[in-house]
Amino acid sequence: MQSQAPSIQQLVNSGAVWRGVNSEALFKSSEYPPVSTGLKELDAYLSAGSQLPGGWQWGRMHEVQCPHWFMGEVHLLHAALRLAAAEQAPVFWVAPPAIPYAHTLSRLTGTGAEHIHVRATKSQEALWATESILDAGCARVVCLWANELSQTDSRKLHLAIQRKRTLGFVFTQTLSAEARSFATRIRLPQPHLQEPCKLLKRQGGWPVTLSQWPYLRQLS
Amino acid sequence: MRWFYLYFPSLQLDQMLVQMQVGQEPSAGGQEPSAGAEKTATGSLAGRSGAIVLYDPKQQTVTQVSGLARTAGIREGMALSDCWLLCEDLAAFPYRASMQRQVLYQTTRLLYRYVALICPDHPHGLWLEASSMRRLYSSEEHLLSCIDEQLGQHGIHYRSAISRSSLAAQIHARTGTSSANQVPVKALPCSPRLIQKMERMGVKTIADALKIPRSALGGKLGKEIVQVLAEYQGHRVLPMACFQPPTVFYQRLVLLADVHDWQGLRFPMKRLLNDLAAFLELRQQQTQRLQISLSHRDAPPTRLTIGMAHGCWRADDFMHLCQLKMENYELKAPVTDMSLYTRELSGRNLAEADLWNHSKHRAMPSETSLGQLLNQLQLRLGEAQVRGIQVVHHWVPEQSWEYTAGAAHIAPTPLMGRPFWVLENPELAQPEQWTLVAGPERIESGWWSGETTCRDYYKAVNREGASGWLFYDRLAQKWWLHGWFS
Repeated sequence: MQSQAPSIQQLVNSGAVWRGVNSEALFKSSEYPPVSTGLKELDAYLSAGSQLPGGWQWGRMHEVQCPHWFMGEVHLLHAALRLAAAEQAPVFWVAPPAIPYAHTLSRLTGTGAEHIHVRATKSQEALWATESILDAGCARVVCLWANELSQTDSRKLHLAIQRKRTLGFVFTQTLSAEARSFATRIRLPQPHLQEPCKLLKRQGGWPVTLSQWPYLRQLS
Repeated sequence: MRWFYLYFPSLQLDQMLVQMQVGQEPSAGGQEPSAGAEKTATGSLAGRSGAIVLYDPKQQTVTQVSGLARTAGIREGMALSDCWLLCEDLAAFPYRASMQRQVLYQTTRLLYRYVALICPDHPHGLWLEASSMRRLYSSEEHLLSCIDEQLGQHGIHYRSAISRSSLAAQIHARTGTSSANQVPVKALPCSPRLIQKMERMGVKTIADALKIPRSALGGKLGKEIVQVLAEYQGHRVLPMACFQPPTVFYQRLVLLADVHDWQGLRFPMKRLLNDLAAFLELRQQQTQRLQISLSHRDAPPTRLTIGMAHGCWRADDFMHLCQLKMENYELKAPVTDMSLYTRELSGRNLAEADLWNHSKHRAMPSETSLGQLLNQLQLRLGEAQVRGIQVVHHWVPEQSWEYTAGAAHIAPTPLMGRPFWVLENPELAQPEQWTLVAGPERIESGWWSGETTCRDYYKAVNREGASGWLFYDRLAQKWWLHGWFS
């Protein structure tokens, strides 16, 4: 019997065990299934159960920690962007490090989506804009690039996105494991430190390490 | 034709009383009081603040009298000094002809919803043509009750009379009479000399004048009285200018006291915005620009413009935008009066009002629409900071996309293999820091217009492993970074 304990832990870690605390997520997933991250392994870790589809949960903020920008982090959004285009819903890009190229967006998602670029000179402006967009509830995908997001700020975003059919993403270069109100926290690999991609926080499971981050490997 | 004449004995004063009531009602909380409450509150305010009159600043005579002042014995035309003797706590404000004109104009606009043919009679009255509205209203009383309700909601006192002659309606409404034998001849719009002549002849009332054969009267007193009596009997029509609904919205509100901050301006602003919303609602139009002018006592007026990428027509939306604009704005001087102006009107976007396109993907009723959201963001951050992204069919990459003022569905493109990110302005690149992995894609354009572009685009990887979009400018012989694959 003692030898089975680690295997249950392993099941919990892999997200195969459904826990009662996830009832709300399960309810939401039955109405609006999560959106794929583009990585099967990551989808499986972000699933509420082995039989359920996994991915980004609606009405939650998801953090992507990037040691450097342009490391393939946008690949995680592809499915969400396609969905927004299919639903002819707006996508907001708040304070990104460059301009999303219209031709690539059109090629990637088709012609349905409305992409809105928000330039903010101060981090507080970007935060206010994101909070307003989330509060409005009309956006399908909201992406914020911010390096100075306090616990209070993340809590504000969490409260604003609750019960909205919106996917919220925060991209940051701050590699911190300090507690934040994000449903998912993923840290992309450091290119030269041979560090793997880590899932720092997820619902219903312990932190795990992803076996690969394919986008960077393809490029290097 | 049947003419209603509405005579407003205290129009300017009525508006001031309503304004005082709205401004002094602390529990209003941004909500307009109901019609009944407004009427009651107006009365109680008058009770609290005592008798109020408006006076002519030049002649120092009373022009408009509140109910309580009338009870104290004050009448129009009395010298202001006599009024103080009659009522100790009398509040007197100067009568302003321009404001009277403005309020009459607003009242005309208000009643245009009920009657098609309205002729303002400056400065105290309005003619309404009733016979053309028979198919809409069951009776003249029905029409009058609709007008009464509307004027009651705005706290406007009036006297009315109806006649087939516009002049008769005017005279009876002004004098508060119903028949010609009650009206003295001096009420007729004749020269004082003619009136004097008639009174000497023993013609005291209009009925007396009507009894005399017209030819005899004309022979004795001249053509003027014949024409006036013909107008009174409806045989001749008064020259009148019909009201044309305005194509722009302009409204001015004089504040009763100097206002030092935005909180004090909220109530009058809400009143103006409600009127604007009603104006737009009637026309089924929207606006994309508001111009607010705040006048100061000793400084040039402050002019504020609120631009909206997406048109608005609801008072709450306007108020929210004004709130955003004003909460970080510091008034440079106390405000004495404010005005609201808009002329950029356009038809509403019917797609947003489509009842049947209410799928789960669309904004739910409780959600803010995309247009409203963009307006709010642009107002706070600046119009240039919040823009849509759109495809442009052009060979040169920096000209192959553009910002749009509002959101727009992205257009299809034939281009493939382009990066996800593009830099607004290419940055000079150090070639030794990059490893070329794909390319080149040669772009040559603009040779026909003198703006020649000769570039070879490559995909290259830097030391961090990030993949950039570089080009070699063959004319300048330099490497540039133009975007990032991600």
